[in-house]
This record gives sequence, C-alpha cells and structure tokens, in this order.
Amino acid sequence: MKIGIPKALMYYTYYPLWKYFFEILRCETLVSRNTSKLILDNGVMNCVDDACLPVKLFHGHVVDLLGEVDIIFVPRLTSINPGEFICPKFIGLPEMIKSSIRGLPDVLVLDYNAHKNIKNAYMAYIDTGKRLTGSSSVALKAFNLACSKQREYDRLLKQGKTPLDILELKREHNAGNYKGVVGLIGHPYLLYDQYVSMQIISKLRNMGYRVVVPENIEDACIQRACERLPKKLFWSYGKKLLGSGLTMLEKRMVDGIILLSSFACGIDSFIIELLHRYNQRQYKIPYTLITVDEHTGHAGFNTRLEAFIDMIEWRRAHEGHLSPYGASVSGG
Amino acid sequence: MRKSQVYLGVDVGSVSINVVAIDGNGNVLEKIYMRTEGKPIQILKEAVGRMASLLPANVEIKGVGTTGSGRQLAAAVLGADVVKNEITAHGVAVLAFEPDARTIIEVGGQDSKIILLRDGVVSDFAMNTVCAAGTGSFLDRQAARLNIPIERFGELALKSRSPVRIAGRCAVFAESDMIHKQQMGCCCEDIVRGLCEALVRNYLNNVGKGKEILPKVVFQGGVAANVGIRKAFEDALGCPVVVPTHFDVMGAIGAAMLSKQHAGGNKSKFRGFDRILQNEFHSESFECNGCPNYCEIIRLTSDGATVALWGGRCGKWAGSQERIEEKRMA
Repeated sequence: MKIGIPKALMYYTYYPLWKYFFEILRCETLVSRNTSKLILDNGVMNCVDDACLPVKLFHGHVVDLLGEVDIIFVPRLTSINPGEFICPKFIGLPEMIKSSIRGLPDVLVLDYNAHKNIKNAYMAYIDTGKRLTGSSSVALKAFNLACSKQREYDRLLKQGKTPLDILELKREHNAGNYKGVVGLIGHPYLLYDQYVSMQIISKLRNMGYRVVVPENIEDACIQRACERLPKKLFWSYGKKLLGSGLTMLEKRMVDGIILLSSFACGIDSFIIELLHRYNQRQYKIPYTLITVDEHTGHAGFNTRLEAFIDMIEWRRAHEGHLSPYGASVSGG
Repeated sequence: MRKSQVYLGVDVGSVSINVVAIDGNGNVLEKIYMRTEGKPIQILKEAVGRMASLLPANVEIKGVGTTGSGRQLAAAVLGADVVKNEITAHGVAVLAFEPDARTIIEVGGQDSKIILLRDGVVSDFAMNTVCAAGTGSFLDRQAARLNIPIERFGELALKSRSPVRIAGRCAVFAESDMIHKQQMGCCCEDIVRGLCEALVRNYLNNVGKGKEILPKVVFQGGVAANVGIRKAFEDALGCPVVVPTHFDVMGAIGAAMLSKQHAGGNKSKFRGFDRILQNEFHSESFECNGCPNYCEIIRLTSDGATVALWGGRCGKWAGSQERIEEKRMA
C-alpha cells in the first residue's frame, strides 16, 4: 500500500517518525512535492475561504497527491503535550479535507491526543498500525523503532540544524564564518516551507547571518522561560515560539529577532505582542514582524529583511556592540 | 576647469519617481518629482533626461544610488552603484537634514512606514503589513472620486468645522462609509477631514502600534504635502510635526548619500546620460517553465540585447544577470 504524506503543517516536525513508522510496517510512502504556485493555487481553490494560509497549503498538498497514492495520511493532532492544546484547525483537519476535496482516496486519520495522558496519544499509533497490518505487536515494535529515528532527528535539531538542513540535506555553506546571529521565530510549517517563507533562511545565510530557530532551543529552557509569564500558556505552539524567543533574549543568543507570521493566525497574535513587550521592556534588541499571505512578489519581503539587517549592523557599529556569536545554541 | 562632482539618487516608487542630484557636501542641487503612471521605465528616462538638462554640462557623475520598490529596475536601466531599501535610505537622509529627529513618519504610495531614530541610528522600524490601505494611492483614488485635485485635498480638510467619523481599518470599509456619509448630506470638507483623521488613526494603530513616538517627529513622503493629514497627525500626537523642505524626495536623497559613502575612489557604474537617453529600454515578462513555480521572469532589453533578468525564486536567472553585468563591465 502506498501512503501519501502531505508536505505541510506538522510534516516538518514529525516526518522521520511517520516515514519510518509506515516503512517498518512495509507501506510505501510518498511525500507531496515542494510548495509551488500550482500547489498554492490548488489549496486556495479547494479550501474554505477563511482558513489560514498554512491550512490552505495543506489542502494543496493533498491535491498534489491525488491519483498517486492509495491512501492519504491526515493526522488529527488535538494535543501534543499533557494539559495543553494546539490550534483547533488541526483538530478539524480530517473533516475539512474530506468535505472540501473531491476525488479523495481513503484517508488515514491518526487521532493523537495527549491532553490527559501521553500514553493515550501513543495508542493512536498502535491503533493505526493495527489497522494497516492487523497486529498490535508489530505496530508497537514499529512505533518504538520509529521513535528512535525521531529522537535522532530532534537531537540534530537541538545541535543547531534546521529541519531543512536535515530533511532536504541542505548543506550550510559559509559555516562558522558569520557576521552575526538572527533569531527566526515562526511556526515550522511557515519557516521551512521555502515558497511561503520566501527562502528566508537561505536569504539570511547569504547575507552572512547564522539563523537560530525554535527547534534549536531545549524544551527545558522553553519551559523555564514561560514560567515568568503571569498565566500559563495552554497552546503548545504558542508556548514553544514565545519560550524560544524569550530564551534567545535572556541568553543573549541573537543580534535580532524576526517573527514570521501568516496573516490572521490567532496564536501568533499573542506571541507577537508578548515577545515585543518583553523585548522592549528589558532587552531592546532589533525585532521585527513579517506577515505573509498569498503574496508571491518578493520585493516587499526583501525590503523588510534588508532594512532589518541594515538596522542590526548600523546599531552595532554605533554601540561598539559585540555579537553573541559563539554562544552555544542551546544556551548551555 | 575641474569637473564638479555629483551623486545621483533615484527613488522609483509606485506613485512617483524622484531623481535628485547632490554635491560632494550633501547639498541638494536639483530635484525632480514625476508621477510613475504605471510606466516606470519611460518616466524614469524622462526624469533622468530632465535632470541632465538641469545640471551643468561639465559635471561628473561619481555615484548612483537607487531605492524604492522599483530599485532593481532603476539600477538595471541606469547602472547603479548602490541599491538600497527605503528604510535605510530615509533614515540616512533624515539624519543629514534633521539630526535631532527621533521619529520618522513616512507615507508613500503603496507603503507606510515608521522609523525610530535614537542617538543617530535607526533603532526600530515597521511597515504596513499585508495590505496598502491608508496610503497615498488610496487618498489619490478618493480625491479622484470626489473630483477634488489631490493638491487641494489638504486645504479643504482644514476648512472643516465638524469632521465626520470615517471607518479607517480598511480602505474598502472607508470608501463605503464615506459614500454613506455623503449620501446623508454631510458636506465635502467634513468628509475629507474625517478621512484624514481616519488615515492617521489607522496609521498609529497599525504601523505605529507599540512604538514610542518621541519628538522631533518628521513627516515625509508624497502624502506629507497634504496639510490636512499633517494637522491630523499633530492633533493625534499632541506635538508639532516637521515636514522637511525636500519631504517628497527624501528616499532619493538618502540613496544619493549612500552612493557617495560607497563611492570612495571607485569609478561609478553609471551608464552615462547619453546612453540612457538614446537607448530604447524595453521590459517584458515571461513565465519560466523550469518547475511548477512558473515564476514570472522580467527581462530588460536595450536595443535588442538583454541587460538584466530578475524575478525568479531559484538562482537560475539571477546568475545570468550577474554574467551580463560582468560582460558589461569588461
């Protein structure tokens, strides 16, 4: 059986787990192609109008797999950490796909919900594996093996690589020879989708800057950084983005922070404000927000990026400021 | 006689094309402001031609800087030494003319920006996010709809005694609100004043959100000519708002200054007035079929020969632009 995996939303977070899990179960996997104008157009055409860009893109990636695979994998992620939730659009994703896209093959839904107990969430994989092979023990073995692959991936991320460096085998040229460090905060499905993020990571690297992303920050640091907030954040991704931004500020890991957000993202609306306020009160490093939507012109995007880098360099020249380059990525 | 040395700055914006010439001390010698009218190359050539006729014959162009959303295009046509984003260009120009400025409000045709200056450097900035509501092109459109010349728009606003409230969040909402108020019988100057206030409110809540706006506040960009908007900013901020002498061409001045900084002893890449004016420049776009992105590639040709290519997402076409550049310089 050939399983289609849309290259969107949680792909950049869990791909190693999914790929090895299905392959150990002797299923072939096919990942949709990189986002392109065609995929974006198909996403916009086949999705409810008021969804955010990443959800539209997921639809486009599902369309890209039509006719190529026997079944399409659409995970339903309700909660990825006990006591927390993620964006409700992820909860309704399988239903949105089923109602919006015509000519859909079978859909493989995985109900991942760790809200009460992380074991419940693991059971989702066992159930899915059992559905594919008929055996719980085979599924359990596959899940354990796939988890070790996922841990390996997570370990590389914590060492300072980005998901693109690992998944696309991008080699970081110019390594070790950077003018400074930029913290890039955003949801993985925006940052690592090179079409919508307008290749921001390679642009920054070509401008001579190392990039630190939320995936590089240790979970314990994120947790600790969020404890200073007056109220617990129950959105896992909000916590991850804000906690990694605060960690970058506290440990003085970066020369500036760029927040990349998609238009009308509910979680980001909090993160943008909170991070901005903490930075303004205490750290005062260059900080900017870039919002993306269906735009394909690079001019406005590049203007903001170039102006931001100019500001970092101008301020640094003025302050005789030393770059924190060389500080360990996880902050030690 | 020694030739006088001049630096050119060009700002190709969505609504206007500005060309300035400065001398070695940063004084503005000549400035030209022309409407883009959707024909950037043609108007750019015209503007450069006018500049050539204004400057004395014995000048030497030591450097050329371009900025604005059409900066790549202008750089390819003119042969520029520096291609710089608008934020930096505006910051550089303001610091030269108003060294004690701490806030720059810039409202242009498609973009609006806020730039905070502290201790003589850009310390923070913001630009409008995904849409162009509340910028110059919207004012233009409303002026045309009300049949008021844009130059008189501001004066008319000052005549208003009781401005009406216009929805400012979105240009489309604002337009329907204005039409409703007009049909209710509100007088034209009150609506115009209401629009100025809505634009300012929208600017401060959007672009200026969370920014510490400290005096001296400098207001520039084409919209700074509008006294109604200036007044509305002063009322909202509770402090005087300074409009610099060259408010409409500050980006171009910044670009010229950056080319001066960059020049050093190097020879400028400037093509020369004669060649720019004699050559026919033609731009066309085509869809690249190399991958499913179908990028729109822009090809600029001069008398049949390709002089520049840009617009692709991958490096395929950008590389060929560099090769062309190398050939040209060799």
